[in-house]
Amino acid sequence: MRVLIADDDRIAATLLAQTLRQWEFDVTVAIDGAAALRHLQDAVATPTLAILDWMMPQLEGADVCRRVRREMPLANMYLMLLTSLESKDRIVEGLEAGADDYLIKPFDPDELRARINVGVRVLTLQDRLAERVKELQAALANVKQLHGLLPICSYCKRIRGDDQYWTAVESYIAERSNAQFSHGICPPCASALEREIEEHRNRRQRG
Amino acid sequence: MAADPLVVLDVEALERQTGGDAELRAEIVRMFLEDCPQRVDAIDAAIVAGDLASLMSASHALKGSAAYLKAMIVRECAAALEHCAREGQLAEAAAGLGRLRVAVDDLIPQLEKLSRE
Repeated sequence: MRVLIADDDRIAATLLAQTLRQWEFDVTVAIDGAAALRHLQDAVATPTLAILDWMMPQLEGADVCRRVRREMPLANMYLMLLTSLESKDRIVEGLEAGADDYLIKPFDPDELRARINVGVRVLTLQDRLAERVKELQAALANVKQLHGLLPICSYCKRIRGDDQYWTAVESYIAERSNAQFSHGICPPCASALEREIEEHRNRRQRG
Repeated sequence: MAADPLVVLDVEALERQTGGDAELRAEIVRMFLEDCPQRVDAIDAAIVAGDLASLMSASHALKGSAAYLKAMIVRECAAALEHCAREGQLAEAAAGLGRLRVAVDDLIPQLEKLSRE
């Protein structure tokens, strides 16, 4: 799982990065809010957990949250704000800006681990849901191709496609869906065929 | 019940913060020893210039690093200076800087000793 750490204090950034690397996360460090936003914009298609310090030069952590939620509403990103104990009263403001969670500095490693696990669970679930939506969209696209008015020959049952060629009904359907055909003879056709063979045999005997 | 007196450097808490990783501990101690004098100078310069915004950002930064190092007295002194900046109390900040310098002078030898271990 990818984790972005944004903190202008190199001691905090080093501690967070190293702690998360020990837990086998893929860690990137940004030294200010603007760099953090650029990293998140580049990672828009990747589930990302970001730990953003509140007070940073250029763009504060809460501003980064606001921009991400406004500019990338469908991005799968779990945003955590780092705040000092004295700024605890600003937590509501941070959550309203689009943060999913917050941590009080200096972070406690056990609490960090537990909160990161929550983030990973949410990101994984979102990712799975996005995959399911993609599968459903693909299935829906196939179904759509079989919609509409199909010109079919009343005698041979071939279908005329958009390319104006007449195609056997099974090929037509197989190309536009996940259906496969196994060929056989249905009972009414089998009886008719038997009768035809019988008549043919009789004609030959008479002839 | 009175609160426990603050320690200059809580080595046990620092050990927990770094997850027992000696290399990581050595690295952040080295960074702090490099950054701390500049941060104190920045606080000093901000007080002399009466620049409350710079005083706030410099003392906030020092407070954050000291909190991770578990340098509890320096952390408290920096927090007090940040409060002075927020409240516009420059005279109190000048006195606070004196206390900060004493706390830093107590801390540095302990960190240097730790980095030699």
